[in-house]
Amino acid sequence: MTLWLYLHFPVLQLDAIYSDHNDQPVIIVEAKKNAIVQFNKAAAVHGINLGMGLGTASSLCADLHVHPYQAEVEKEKLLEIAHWLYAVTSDISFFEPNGILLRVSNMLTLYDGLDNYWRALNTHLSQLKNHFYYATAYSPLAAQLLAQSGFNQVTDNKKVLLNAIQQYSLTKTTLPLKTVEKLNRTGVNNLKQLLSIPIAEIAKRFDISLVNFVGRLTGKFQHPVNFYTPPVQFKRCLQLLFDIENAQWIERPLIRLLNKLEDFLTLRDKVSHEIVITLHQRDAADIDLLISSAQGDSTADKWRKLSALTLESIKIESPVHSITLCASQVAPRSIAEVDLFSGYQGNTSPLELLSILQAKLGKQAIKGLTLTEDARPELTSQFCEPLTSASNLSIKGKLRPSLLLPTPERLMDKVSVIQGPERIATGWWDGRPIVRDYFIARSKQGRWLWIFKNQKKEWFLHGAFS
Amino acid sequence: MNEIIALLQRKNLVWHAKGEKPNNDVSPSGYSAFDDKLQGGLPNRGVVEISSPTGIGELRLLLPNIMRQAQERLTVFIHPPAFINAEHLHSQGFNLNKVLIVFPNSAKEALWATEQCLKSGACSAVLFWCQSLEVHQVRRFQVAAENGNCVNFLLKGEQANALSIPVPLSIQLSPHFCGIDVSIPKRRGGYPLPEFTVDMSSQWPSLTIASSADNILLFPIAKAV
Repeated sequence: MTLWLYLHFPVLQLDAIYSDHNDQPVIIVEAKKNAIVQFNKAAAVHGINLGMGLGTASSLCADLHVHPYQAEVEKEKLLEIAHWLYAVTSDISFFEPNGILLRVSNMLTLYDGLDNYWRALNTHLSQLKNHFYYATAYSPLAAQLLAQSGFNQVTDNKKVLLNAIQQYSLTKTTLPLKTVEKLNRTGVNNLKQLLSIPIAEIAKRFDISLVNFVGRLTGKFQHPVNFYTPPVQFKRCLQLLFDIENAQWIERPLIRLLNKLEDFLTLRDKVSHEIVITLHQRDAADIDLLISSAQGDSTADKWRKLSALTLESIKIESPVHSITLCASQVAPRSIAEVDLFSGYQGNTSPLELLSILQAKLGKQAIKGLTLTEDARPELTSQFCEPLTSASNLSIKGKLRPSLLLPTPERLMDKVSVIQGPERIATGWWDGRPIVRDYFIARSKQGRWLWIFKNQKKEWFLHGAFS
Repeated sequence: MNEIIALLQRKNLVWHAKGEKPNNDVSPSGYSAFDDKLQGGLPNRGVVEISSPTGIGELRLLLPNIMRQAQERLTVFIHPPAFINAEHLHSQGFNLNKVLIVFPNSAKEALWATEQCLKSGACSAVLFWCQSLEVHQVRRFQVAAENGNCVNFLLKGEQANALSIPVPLSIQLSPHFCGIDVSIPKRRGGYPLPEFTVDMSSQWPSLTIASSADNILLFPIAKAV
């Protein structure tokens, strides 16, 4: 059977906002329930306890520091811990919001026994200075149950573990309250009683979720867990034997780094979309060069070409003594599906294309079009977030130009009116009324224009029937 | 040697002076006179250069073809001379959800954006209003458009372009009372065509004038300026 270790972090958010002032009472309040979920030692001295309301707490202690509970903070912190633990143990799984599950069994060969493993893990973890409870068990659920109640023992003795689990009453488990009540009525109050019933009997009398629970608790059923894999990142630094003063000469040592990047990416069958080259100067600030490739590249040659373009334009103030290459945006290689007969065809999705364009040109440069019900021509056609136009209006029958000027301009050309007028008098409700007589006109150069005359008999050009 | 020629012929890259074969990689433009002259219509992929003054009906000539070819793919307008009117596109039958308008900050960005859109395969047509392009830029557009199975309309002003650029089809437009005058100085697999008129009076009755131009009223210029 697989041995699991569960780490429970009861005051994770409190640890995250830990400050130097240790004697300051701090509490974390879940706003929805108006209940204290975490508090520090200084607060405990004042008699503050879990589940108290904010009013009670503040009446107990006047200078209380109150923070709202934020699940994201805990999630982030949990990720940080997992990343840190990855150096000593391999199979890590999250139990949000404040638990981490480790698969111990396959680490024991490496560490030569559970004690050594726990010692290494504990030393490594305590450097983070988080408060945590821990427990081992032969199923994830049991380990979680033990750790959450502060069992704090690492053992692979099945008897001890089974005994420990059997002590717990059903209310401490993750079972829904309704099921617990149902069990209580049949005289089952603790896990010992529950586990003594054969699973087949449970299946007969109760629903499948309880069967699953018991199976998972005893480790007879598989508990599906997703293991954490840390993000792939490449970072290498190259110390130069001689200082380089000319930006063009940097290319040579850079190739070495790029070759390493290529090896790194090829091994993982990935491509990088962005690399950052940092030039460490002797007497000046570091220069960061960001080089991006929209389709993603892995070969050193491609990146060399791209970086050469950037290196041409920079100026080095002071000699460069080392170069760091960092590839943070690593993505799986997109498979180009090639049709045998029609050859290579682009297969970017519209959204991918949009993100590529937005990344380079900025969000404001890409627009979508939408129709509104407003009768003012400049408001009927409006820009919107690209690819989100949801208008299902159907305005038919009106002849409108294909190009509209952003703002109407004074009519300067000599034109002859072909059709009109079409009076548009609207917008009185929001302070921007218009009363305009629109005409279709043709200029001497043969351009088809959309012009209007306002109430002051001034003529404006508003669009073209391009 | 014969094999190479046969291959080129199969790929429609060799043109025989005698006997013009109808090109099958084209789609109708919606204007019969135009289609007849172009042996079927506008190409489905590749670069099409259009020199025309703005506002004489150049978009009206192209949009029916673009709309028909879109088929749930994107139509991208890059660096238009003014805002594109949603109402017009809607009345032409466009799905506004599949329309992108790009306002690049510089000429370089415009070129980059055009190439990205062309090669993505997500677009069916990219309309790019540009000033002048260099030969290598047009070559890149052509390759990208073929990769992305996309047609690229390069809309240029009417300035006499001294430098010929390598495009499969070049169209020059000039205004005409009852539509638009088209001449084709260059096309792949065919002789250049002298000027002919595309009659738009059935599609755009309000935007044409009957050939007897006696119903034109001279209109007074704005006096305020």
